[in-house]
Amino acid sequence: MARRLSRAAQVGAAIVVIYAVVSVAAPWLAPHLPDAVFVGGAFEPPSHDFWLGTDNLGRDVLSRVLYGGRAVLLMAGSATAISVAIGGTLGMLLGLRRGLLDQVLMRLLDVVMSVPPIIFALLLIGALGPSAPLIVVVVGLLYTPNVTRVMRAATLAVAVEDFILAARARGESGAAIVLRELLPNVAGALVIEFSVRTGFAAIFISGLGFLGFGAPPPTPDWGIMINEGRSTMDASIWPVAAPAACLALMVTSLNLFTDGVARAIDRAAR
Amino acid sequence: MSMDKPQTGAISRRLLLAGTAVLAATPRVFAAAATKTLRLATGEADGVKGTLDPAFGNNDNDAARASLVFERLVVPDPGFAPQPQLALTWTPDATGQIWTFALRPGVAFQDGTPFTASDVVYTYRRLVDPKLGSPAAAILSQVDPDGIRAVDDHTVEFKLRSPSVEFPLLIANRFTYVVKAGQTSEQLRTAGIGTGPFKVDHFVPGEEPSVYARNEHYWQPGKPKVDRVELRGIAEDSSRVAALLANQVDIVLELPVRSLQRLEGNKDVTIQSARTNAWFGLAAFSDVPPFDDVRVRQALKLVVNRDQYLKAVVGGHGTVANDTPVAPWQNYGLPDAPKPPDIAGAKKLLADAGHPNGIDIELYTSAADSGLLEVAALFQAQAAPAGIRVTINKAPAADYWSNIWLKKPFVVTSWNARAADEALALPFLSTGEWNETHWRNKEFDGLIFEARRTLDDAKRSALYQQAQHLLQQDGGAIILLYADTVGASRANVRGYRIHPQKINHDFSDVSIDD
Amino acid sequence: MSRPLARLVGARLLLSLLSLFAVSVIVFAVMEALPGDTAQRILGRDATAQSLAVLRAQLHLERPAVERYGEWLGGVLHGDFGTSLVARRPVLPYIAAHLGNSLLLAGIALVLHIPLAVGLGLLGAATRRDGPIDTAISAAALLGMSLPEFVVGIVLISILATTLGWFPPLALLDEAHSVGAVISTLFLPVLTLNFAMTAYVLRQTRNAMFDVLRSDYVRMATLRGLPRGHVLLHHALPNALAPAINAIALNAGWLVGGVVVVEVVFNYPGLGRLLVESISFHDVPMIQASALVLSASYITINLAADMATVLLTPKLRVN
Repeated sequence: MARRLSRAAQVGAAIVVIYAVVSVAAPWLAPHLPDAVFVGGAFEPPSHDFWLGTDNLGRDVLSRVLYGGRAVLLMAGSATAISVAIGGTLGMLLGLRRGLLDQVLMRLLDVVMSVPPIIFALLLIGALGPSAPLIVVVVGLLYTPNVTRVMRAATLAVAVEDFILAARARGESGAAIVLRELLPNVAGALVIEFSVRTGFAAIFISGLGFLGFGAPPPTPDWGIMINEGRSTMDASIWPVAAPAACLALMVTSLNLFTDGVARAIDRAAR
Repeated sequence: MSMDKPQTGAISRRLLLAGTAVLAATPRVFAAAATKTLRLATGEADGVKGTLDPAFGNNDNDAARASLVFERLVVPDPGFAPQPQLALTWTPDATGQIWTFALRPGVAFQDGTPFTASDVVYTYRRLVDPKLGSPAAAILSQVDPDGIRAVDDHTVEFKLRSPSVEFPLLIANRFTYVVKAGQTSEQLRTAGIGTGPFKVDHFVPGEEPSVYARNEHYWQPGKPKVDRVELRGIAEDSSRVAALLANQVDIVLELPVRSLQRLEGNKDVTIQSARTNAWFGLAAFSDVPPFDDVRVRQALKLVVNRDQYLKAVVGGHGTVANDTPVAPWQNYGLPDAPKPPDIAGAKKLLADAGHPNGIDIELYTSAADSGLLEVAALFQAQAAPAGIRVTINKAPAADYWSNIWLKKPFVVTSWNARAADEALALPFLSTGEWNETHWRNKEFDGLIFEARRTLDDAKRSALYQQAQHLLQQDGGAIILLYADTVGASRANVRGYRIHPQKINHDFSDVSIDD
Repeated sequence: MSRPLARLVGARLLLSLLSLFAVSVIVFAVMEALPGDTAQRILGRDATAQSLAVLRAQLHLERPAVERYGEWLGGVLHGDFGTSLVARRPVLPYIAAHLGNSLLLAGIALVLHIPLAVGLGLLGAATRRDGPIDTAISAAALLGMSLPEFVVGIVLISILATTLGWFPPLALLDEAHSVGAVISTLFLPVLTLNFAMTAYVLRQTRNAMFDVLRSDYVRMATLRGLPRGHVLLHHALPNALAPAINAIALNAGWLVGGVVVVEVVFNYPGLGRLLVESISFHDVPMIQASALVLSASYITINLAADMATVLLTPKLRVN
């Protein structure tokens, strides 16, 4: 695979990795528990004790942001993993098989995709009550059709190549073809999809949190933090600005990385 | 001040055709006479739930609407003493069980028809009718439904099931606005006819703003002082304050304490606040372990540091409370100040009650109202040193008052400002419809009922105070603080006086300078 | 319209209708699973056992689900969307009014972002690749795509409305009595929506332009001595438009979701906000109607966008 990523893409990748590491290490890095109330006064500005100040309940904003990143990355990552696992597999299979099943399934996917994602999510979460696992499953399922489509298209492009036909002629099983011949060639598309979807998922999930349909505490999710801090921006902007900036930076980095990979693949193909 | 469209259609059409970009903030002056519009903003959004029917009003918007269109027999003044509005005088009989109200003559409804005793009878019979299902029926349970009658055109008689010395104050609540007789619930929902300073011009639930026009038949001369009122609900605190600053509204009926810093010193805005006995606290089911042991309940009250709540919940705009819903400055209030927290004492009480290692309890709260989350968070921190390990359960806001409050054993609660009897009776009588602590203390009930029929002021005062002492010792509610009511208006608004009970308004006197 | 095109349109229409029907079933089924009691939500904390019982009976909440679905569907087909449980008035006028407002907002945003995005994409491509201007534009686009709409909205309100006072903080559409006032009211919500949409189309345009600029066809035109501007506009742009049109079509669909969040941020009386509110009230007929109409809009817009893409892209039409 092309390793010649541009500077910008490398920076993006590095930041994403830093995010992941920091999120995993949050319990060790955070100076306070995210739910520890009134460790300081309410709405204190950034200081030596509280690098990002405190919120309305005197909680340390920095600690909440660190743990919040965990929640966001975990939920967005899991949702994307679900969509890529199911959608990727389905897409590749359909791309290889084609035929009646392919046609029917694609029409079915079209129907599923005709529900606006946010409406579907609001209805389901409104009906069953917000919980982290439910949100992850819902978002994952919502993105699956898109991933399926992309992977199917990528597979179709490759499936007519000679080496695939040769493998078929050799009588290799479907699974073997997928793993040995197909996967290395569509890996690029897969990586891009994963990266792009994670960014979208992060935005979508924090959007749900903002609308009031996010995961209930103790998970301090960035979207929920922004929603809660919004009405008290007069007192202090840090409870809103910090998670907002972190979310923006994370998604930007993901997109930078995605761009770099896409360009690198493009260049390699030429 | 907002100017309405000009009378001459030609001018407005020309403006539109010209397509000039006129920013909304620029006032436009017209040659024709301009109408004065008062723009109100409450702190709650009621969407399609809104109603004008006083029997079903349940949020700030409904209360504001009712205040514009209807009036009551008796209104509470800032000290919660009853003042005449549609009733001029009121007298009990010797037992205090039959009350006779003399009605104000010369009052007309907004459609010109005269206001008489039959309208009062119709209003009250409707409120207590179980088939209507109004929450007012619970508050007016002392009234005998067959005992409401019109003695003559301007006299109404109420027969009560048991004597009640403060009956006039009891009927000065948010439900008892007088409606014109014969109106159906459907009519009252959006197009009710009352005697108030403004009549309904346009109200469709869910559409904002709702618009009200001057009542030409209003009985107070020279009032109202504006021609039109627009009411809208803006739930988002910062948007509401921003709207006031941008001159999009004239009066903000409820102001978050956080925004006071932004408004203080701003010469375009006048801030008003009133001391009230609206309270914040915690309610525990007295019939559920571990709260069924009075020592546990007392321990909970001993761990709290009330000053911290004052700061965190209302930014200092309030007064600490001492586990009674009646404020010290109110009629029947207790003068004693709350004791400082006593962790050791709390631990001992818990040990005596059989919990030497402390207790684990779950506390429900939500963002349903401002301040509830802060109370829960603070209590958790304050109770920990005494071995009371609190787990906070944050419920969704829309659900809180319907499914959590009154249903879960330990919740954060808050109450609006009320006169002493209502404040004690509604939450704490064994038969109270909103008995949030499941407290059934016969002695307390007895004291309240007796106080209600005691004519001697000093004796009645002693009874209410005794009842409060009982509540403090034995009750399941930890009443932490009283919150001030804060509102603001543009500096050119005159005649608006904020009332401790935030749902109480008088807009007849409000005027706007040019 | 040619035969294959007509068949394509027909097939898509049929599919869309099927989708709509499926959506109606999904929406109705999901509502059945909703816990919580409408009567409790309406009466709030003043509810008493008596008042709850009375209200429940009035709202007919006891009839079986399938019966209620059939009745509802029948009504919808006749244009009757039922009565709001909370407002006690017909649902249709609310939906119509709020839909109109949402369409106004979304329509203006959609129309405005096309010239803006294509123009900026052109500009970026006209200069040197990865040069200062191109980098600036690309960076701005990246940021626009990465910021969630609600963050953009909150920041814009905070700076432009609350602090600087240039625009009203609330989208009080009813107060806007002149064209100028309407523009002023809608400016911030439209700008918020445009951040993400413009970024997306911009990137597609720019990337496509760079690809096309490398092609032999364009190289030939440049070698022939034609001025750069002419080459860009008449040779490069038309061929780079396909991905841009595709992106615009995707944006149109995205708007149906994006508008929900923006309406909540700005308190704008649109269909998205109505949906969110009705969910919190558990106002089942209103939820069903809003969800159905929003989905129908989504389906229609996607259909129109797909058709437009096919019509505007000669290559696809030939296929």
